[in-house]
Amino acid sequence: MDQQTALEKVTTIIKPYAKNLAPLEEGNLDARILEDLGVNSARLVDIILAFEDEFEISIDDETADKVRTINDAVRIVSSQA
Amino acid sequence: MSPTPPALGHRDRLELFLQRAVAWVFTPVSYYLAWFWMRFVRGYRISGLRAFRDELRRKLGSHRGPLLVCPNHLTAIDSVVLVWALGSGLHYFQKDRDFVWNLPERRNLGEGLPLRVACYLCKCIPVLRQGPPEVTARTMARIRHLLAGGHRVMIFPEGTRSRSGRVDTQEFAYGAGRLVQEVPGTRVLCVYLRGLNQETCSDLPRRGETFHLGFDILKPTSPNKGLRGSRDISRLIIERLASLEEEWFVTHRPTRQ
Repeated sequence: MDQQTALEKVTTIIKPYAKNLAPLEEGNLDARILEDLGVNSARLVDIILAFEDEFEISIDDETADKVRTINDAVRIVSSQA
Repeated sequence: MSPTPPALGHRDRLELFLQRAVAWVFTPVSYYLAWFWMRFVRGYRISGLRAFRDELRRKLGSHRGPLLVCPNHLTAIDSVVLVWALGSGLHYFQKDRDFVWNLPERRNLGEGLPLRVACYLCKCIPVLRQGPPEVTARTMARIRHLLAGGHRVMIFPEGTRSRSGRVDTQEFAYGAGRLVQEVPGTRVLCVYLRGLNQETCSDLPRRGETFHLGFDILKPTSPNKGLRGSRDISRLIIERLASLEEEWFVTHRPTRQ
């Protein structure tokens, strides 16, 4: 899957969980999901499970722990999808 | 399949061993000081305390393995009241593994030395929520180590005090489910604790409050592994807490649900 498509889908999935939407609207790929977007850590788990469902991939715990930024998420899903 | 979680390092093992030993030595002091404050300064009572302890002992039977205590969360001293409810000072002195380890948010402890010392003596492991992954991993390794060693650990599945005053079945955390998955044989003690006058969350229960308890022991499982399994198990725990809450309201406030 190309990065642009992955980015659009990742952004769509994260949006409902983000308290601060500005970094998403600015397209800031280095925005940290927990700190900058204000996503609760439990909801980050929901986001990763939503990635699994949307992209039909499997993300193990170790890889999930490495998802810190939007860029990390895009990289992981586009490499596996 | 999830990889096996990393084992605890020697330094962390030593620190936990020391804290356990020091806490055990001070158990008669720390327990009865807290008990005296609750019982005589604040005037708290736990209704049916002896029956609760007897029933808990009966339901646990011969289980001496990992026990994760998962209560609802309404006040800042829920964990202290539950330590009182779950055993006497003498019991904890004889069986120190039964004195639950608590996991308070590090930021809530502040910088005051007295509170930090009290937390150390009362078997607290401060956790940093939303902290760096390496810090979270180390804390989880400590908790797993304790559970695997047959200690009791208390974790609030809601993650924070309930602002609505009712168990939050939507915005709960998944740490409890993760621990159940990662430590084989873990049983979950769901406890619903609420004072008769407790409406929503607060720092302290009202003076003279009488607490009523309800509990169940679960062995929650999920066909899923990893994060999905953690979420499934956490949901089972939170749903049992919510049903215990319903039972509490039916029994104690039949006209005010």
